[in-house]
Parts: sequence; C-alpha cells; structure tokens
Amino acid sequence: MSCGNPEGAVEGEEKEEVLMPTSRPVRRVDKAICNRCKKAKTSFIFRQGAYCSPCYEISLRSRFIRQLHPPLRPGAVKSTLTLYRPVVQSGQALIAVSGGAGSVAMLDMLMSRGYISRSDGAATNRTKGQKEAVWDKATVVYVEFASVTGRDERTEDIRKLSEDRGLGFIGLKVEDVYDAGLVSWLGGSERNADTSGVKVNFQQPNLPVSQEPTTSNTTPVERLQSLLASLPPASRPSLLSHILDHLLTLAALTLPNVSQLLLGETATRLAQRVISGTALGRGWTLPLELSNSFTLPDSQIVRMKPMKEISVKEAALWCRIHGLETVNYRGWDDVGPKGKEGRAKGGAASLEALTEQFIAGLSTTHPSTVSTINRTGDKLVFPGDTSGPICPLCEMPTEPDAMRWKARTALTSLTDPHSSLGSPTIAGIHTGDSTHDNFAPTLCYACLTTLSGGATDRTTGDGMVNLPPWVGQRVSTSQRMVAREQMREEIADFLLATEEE
Amino acid sequence: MAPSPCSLCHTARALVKRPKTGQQVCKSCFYSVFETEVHNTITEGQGIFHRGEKVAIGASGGKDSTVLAHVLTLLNQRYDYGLDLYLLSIDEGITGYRDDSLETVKQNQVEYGLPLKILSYNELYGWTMDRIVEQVGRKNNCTFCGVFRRQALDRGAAQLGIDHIVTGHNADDMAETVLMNIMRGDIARLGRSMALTTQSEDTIKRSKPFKYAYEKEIVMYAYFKKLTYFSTECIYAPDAYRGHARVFLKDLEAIRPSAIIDIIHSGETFVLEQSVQKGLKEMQTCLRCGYISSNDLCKACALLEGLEAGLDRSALKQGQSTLSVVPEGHRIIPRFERPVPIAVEGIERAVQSLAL
Ligand code: SF4
Ligand SMILES: [Zn+2]
Ligand SMILES: [Zn+2]
Ligand SMILES: [Zn+2]
Ligand SMILES: [Zn+2]
Repeated sequence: MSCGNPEGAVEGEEKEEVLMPTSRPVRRVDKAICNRCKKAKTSFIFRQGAYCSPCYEISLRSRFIRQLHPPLRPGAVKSTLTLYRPVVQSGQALIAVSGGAGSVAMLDMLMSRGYISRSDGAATNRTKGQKEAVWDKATVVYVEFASVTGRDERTEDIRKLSEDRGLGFIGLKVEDVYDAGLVSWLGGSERNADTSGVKVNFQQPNLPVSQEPTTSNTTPVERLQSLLASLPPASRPSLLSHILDHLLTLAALTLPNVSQLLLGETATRLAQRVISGTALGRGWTLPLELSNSFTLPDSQIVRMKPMKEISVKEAALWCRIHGLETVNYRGWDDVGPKGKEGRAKGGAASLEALTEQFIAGLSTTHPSTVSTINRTGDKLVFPGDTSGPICPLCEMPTEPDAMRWKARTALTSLTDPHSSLGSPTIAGIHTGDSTHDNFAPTLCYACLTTLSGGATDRTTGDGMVNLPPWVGQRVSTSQRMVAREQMREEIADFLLATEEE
Repeated sequence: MAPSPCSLCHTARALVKRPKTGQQVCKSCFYSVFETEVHNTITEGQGIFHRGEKVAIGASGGKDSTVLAHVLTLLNQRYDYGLDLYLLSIDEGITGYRDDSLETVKQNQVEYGLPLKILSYNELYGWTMDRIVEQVGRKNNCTFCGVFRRQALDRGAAQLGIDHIVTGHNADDMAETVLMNIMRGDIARLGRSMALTTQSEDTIKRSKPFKYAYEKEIVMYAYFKKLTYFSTECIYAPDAYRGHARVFLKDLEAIRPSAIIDIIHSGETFVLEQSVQKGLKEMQTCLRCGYISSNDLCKACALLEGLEAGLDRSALKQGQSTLSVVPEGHRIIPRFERPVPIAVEGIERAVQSLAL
C-alpha cells in the first residue's frame, strides 16, 4: 500500500500499536545494589536487572536447569519437573562443543554442578548440597570446519578442555562426511551399500543423480570444496549446517549407548534460527528444529538444547568470569569462491548471516528482541508426521504438497497446471513423473531452494559433483518410497478401498 | 551481451529478468505469468469469488490498487468470473497527498468503466486526518487512520450493497507482516494474517489477490502497461520499526529473490498451539454505531469520543468510556447497516451447518 502502513491501514482492527512496541522503559531501580540479594554491590547490569556476581550465576543456572531437567524426566508432574534433580540416565551424554560461548558455558555448568561423574576417577568434590550425578559417562564431540573456513584449527583446544574435565573426546572434521570409513571409525558397523560415488548434475534443474565408481584421486576435502563451490554463496551456510547436524546425529547413533545429545544453542542462535528458518522456507519443520526434546529418528536418543533461555552475551560473560576461552565467530558466510550473486548492503552473502546482523542490530535498540522472537517460536507446533518421507539433505520430514504450491505461486513454465492433471512443473521438474534418477523431487521445499541455482557457470567439466554418501543413501531410499506411490497410482482404479497400513 | 531468448516461450527476445524467479522472459510472457499467478491465487481451492458477486476494489491511487483494478478487470473478462466490480476509495483528508491520488482513481474509473465511490473521513467522522494530526500530533496518527479506514471501507461497501472487498496487499507486505508478527510476538495475528480471505462472523469479506505478487513485478507490470499511479508517501507516514523490517526484507530479497515467497510459505505452514488460536475475543456490535466490535464501543467510536472530548493521548486507551450514552455535543458515527445479501448468505450457511 502506498501509504507505507499497509497493515495498520487495512487490518487496523484491534491493534493498539501499529508500529513495533518500543523498548520498555528501564525499570527505575537502584542499579548500584544487586536487585536479587539486595545486599551486594552490582557487578553486571542487564535488561532484567542488576546483579552481583554470585546472583548472576544463580540466575543463569536456574534458567539452565529449567530447560535441562524436563526432558530428562519425561512424564513427571509439571510443577515438580525442575525442582528435583533427575535420576541417573541409562546412557551417556554426548555433548556437542563448538568452542563458542554457548557450548563452553553449557559444558562448564554441567561439570561444575556435578551432573556428570568424571570418568577419570577423580573424586567429585562433594561439598555441601552436592548431588548425585545424572550421567555416569559423557563424551564431547567437536566438528572442525577449518578446512572450509580457513580459520585456525581448534580440535586440540577442545580436546584439552574435555580431557581436563575427565570426559571422552571425539574430534570430527567437516570433510568426514565424505569418508567412507567414518562409521567404523566411530565404532559402528557399516550396514549400507557404498554410496560414496553418487554424483549430482547441477546443470539440470531436476538434479539428475548417477552412481559412478569413486575416483580415488580426490580427497574428501576436495570433494566438499567442489560441492560448496558449485552452490551459490547464499546456500553454503545451509549446507554446512546440514552437514553439522548429520555428523552430530551420526555420532550420537553410532557411539555406544548414547541417551542424550546436548547442544549449546543459545537463545540468540535460536532466535536467528526462527527468522532465518522462516526466510529459508523451513517454517513447517521449524518446531522440530527448535525443540529442546527432539527424539532422533529411529532411536531413543533425545536431542536437547538446555541453553535456550540464555543469550550468547550472557554465556560469554559466564565464560569470562570462569576464565574459559571461546571463539564465537563461525565464519560460514564466506566459504568458497565469491559468486556474482547479490549481497545485502552490509555485505552478508547468506540469509543466515544477514539475520544474525539484523537481530544483533535490533537488540541494541530493542533489548527484548531475542526473547520475543523465541516466545513466538515456542508457540509453533509441528503439524505433520515424522514417519513420512524424509528429505535426503536435511533429514527432516518433507512437507506434502509444497512443490505444487510453489508451482502455482511462482510459475516457471507456461503449461497450465490445471491441464496437466496434477503434475505441475517447477523449474522443469515433473513432480508426478518418473523420478528414478532425479534428486530434486526427493528434496524438501527449503533444500530444493538451497540446491537450485547450483550453477552452470560454477561447476567445471561435466558439471557432476559428488554428493555426501549419506545423501546418496537417502536418495535411493526415498526413491523407493516414491516408486511405491507410483505403483499405487497405476493400480488406483482397481483399489476398492484404501488399505489400512 | 548477446540477447538471450525468453526462457518461457523460447522464441521472443528476453526483455526482463523476473524478480520473483530470476528467469529471463519476454514482455508478453511476463504479463502472462503475472496474470496467471493472480488467477491461480483467486481460484485456488473453492476460489474466493462466486458468480454474480459484487466486489469492491479498495482503490488508493497507489501502484498496488491501480494494477489490481487493471488485472481484475482483465481476468474477469478473460476467465468470465462474472463479477460486478466497483472502485471504493477513502479520502482521509490529507492535503497534498490524498487529493492528488484520488485523481488517479478517477482516471481508473473512466478507463475501466467501473463505478466509483469515494467516502471521506470528514463526512463519516467529522474529522480529517489533517485535523486529527493537529490535535493528537504525529505519534499515533496511524492508529486513528488505520481504525478509521478499515471501518470506512466496510461502510462504503455496505452502502453499495457489497459484501466483498479486495485490497492491493502484495507479497512484500505479506512477508513483512510475517516477520513483524514474529518479531513482536504477535502470535494470534501470525496465524490469521496469512489468510487469502478473512471474514470474521459479521463483517464484510476481505481478500488479497496480490498476496503472492512481488512489489517489483507490480511496478514492472505498471511500467510496461503504461499504467499511471500516484506514488508520494503520505506526509504523516511514520518511519520507525516497520522501516527496519522492510529494509531487512529487501536485503533478504537481494541475497535470494525467492526469500519473499519462501517467507510467505513458512507463514502459511505455521501451526500454533491450540491455546493461542482460541485466545481471540468474542465479537459483538458497538452499542453506539452498530459496527462489529470486541467491546461495548468499537474502536472508531472510542477514538472519536476522545477526539471530541479534546483528549489527545488518552483517546487511545479504549474501555474508559463504555457507555452507550453519547456525551452532549459530541459527533457520532452514523449507524452501520449491513448489506442484505450477506444476511441471506448467513442464513444459508446456518441452514447448511444444521443440515450437516
Ligand atoms: S501513513 Fe498516512 S495514510 Fe497511512 S495510516 Fe498513516 S496517516 Fe494514514
Ligand atoms: Zn546479589
Ligand atoms: Zn531438506
Ligand atoms: Zn516469452
Ligand atoms: Zn461504534
């Protein structure tokens, strides 16, 4: 609308404020004295108030516990959920540590409160009120991205951080996704056929795949780099994030007896995820991504995000107080060769990086931004079925009918979707057609966007790029599922009733 | 650079890069996909219109409503929707802004042969925006304007016996609304704001046929079709938070053009906790003017009472005066009479629901 106030202008009904509610006026309190104990001198001033150092730690810890306990006590009565420490868990905790403030602070809180018994036999310091450990064993997993970001390796720092605390340590590298021996290295047995030779052709919109014998003259790093290089810069952080998810999930499923996977995702990161996930078209699965108690597919392992009420600033302050070193910059926004694609004015190349900058900027004038966004995120529920088809790349459920939706709202061909009998085309992909060799129809809405524009001018030679083996494996699985649907379609006229499955 | 062929018809020379898909297309294919997408939006599912329906196009003289009037007239003929189209304009009484843009609307009236009705704040409420701003200042003016415009459109439609208003909200507006609602935690609205058509129990239906049309493409369409529109910003337009969200959206679009449509897609797939969905207030009618309201007094009556009483800021606080008695000497809004067709439809619907 030309008046610059579209919503207020027409949908003004019931709305108190057309504009964003402004930052609440700071409560008029004495900032010199801790708001909590009302005795000690203030050390830190936050949006919520002013704290002395011990009170600050108590505040952080109680928010941590509020998120940590409930998933460990399923079925417990709500009001008692956070009060008592959960019983000893049956398996071990796998703690994902990136070296950023969120995960380092999480690790420190878990250890300093004796949630994990030290496997090196060092006596736990059972001073006053020290409680029983919740995990008998825990392993730290770290994924090194240095080979693609060009930053300093931190594997040894994280190893030391973990081993100093008597924890097991697994150091992975991002390029390990291309390593056929990864599962057995983690201690599992390879069950599936070798799919390390599956290649995709980015020059065609339906992304045909083909199986070729692995050419042994490329290293995993080279393969990953060529995959990244063939994607538009805006898509690379998404790909890296799916690889990270996959490696962590794989470690959780493969290492012996893991019962929980703990991630140090802060409130700040979650808020970024809400916004960037929305912008990436991942709205449908967003509630699963945000969840603090998500059960990994085909397992009993629960993925948790106990730092979800603590901002990255607060976590960083915790680390500073406790003398813990952190690196908070991921550097995913400028991996791979520069593209000629658009960038935002501030220089961000991806929706993720832009969102990060946007939220950080907004938080300075509207300090409640992160918590407000997360409040919205918390209210979303996943409406679908987690046992349906899975997207090979992000390994999340694929939303039914999404492609048809896109084909109608953003036409990329002139065939009338009505006349082609429910087989609309999107970027030349015939979603109802034979899909045996095509990658595109198996992908979810967002991942198809991520991999589209994997460009002609970027790939060299025949345009064929190696897919990570897990993706190749998933493609063949989901193709079997599609094939079944086609079978049903072919015999549809002869089926008298829908069978109960 | 060598001219490349249109990637849709493969024959004509490509003239533009489509903002929405990035495809290089010729002029006539651009028209074709743009119009077809609007047609798809209109006809999805049961479709938003029915034959013989009287539909008012909320026309401001800006680009969105100008192009909407053009495209709807065209599609109505091409696909024989059988619609009775009207132009409905609201004159807020903003000197140097609205009086100019209303000229555009009058031009559209002649061009498309559509009947035009103009309703002014002045005749309806006894106040122009100029005078309101004089009294309340530049802070909450859009709150008044938004409430007054919504009700004015409904009243204008009712006077014409129309039960369906279409507005020019475009994809950028929709995406921005999704982001805004997330950022301000407006969860109840997050669910509702994405609907193509909204109709609360008793009000007139409202639809947004351009909800998937990119702003850039609307401008492109107007440019090639040589449609004229009025583009000056309202002199009272605010530039606070909404501005941030708009800039952010444009940046997202610069990085990935499909971001706008992807945000809308996310917005449409969001499902909210039950408790949130139920949280909406029960509706009744305003004791003073008969307009649909969640309180004894509708927003417009409450705001008007404040204006009349010479209050400025406190006029915004609703619920202070819930009396149906009008303070002496105050102007009031004429009673809201709903068009007949909707009542019949309402009965039909009631019967249908009984029959089920
Ligand atoms: S910007 Fe101008 S026309 Fe739009 S709502 Fe505000 S005062 Fe009214
Ligand atoms: Zn204190
Ligand atoms: Zn996916
Ligand atoms: Zn063409
Ligand atoms: Zn009223």
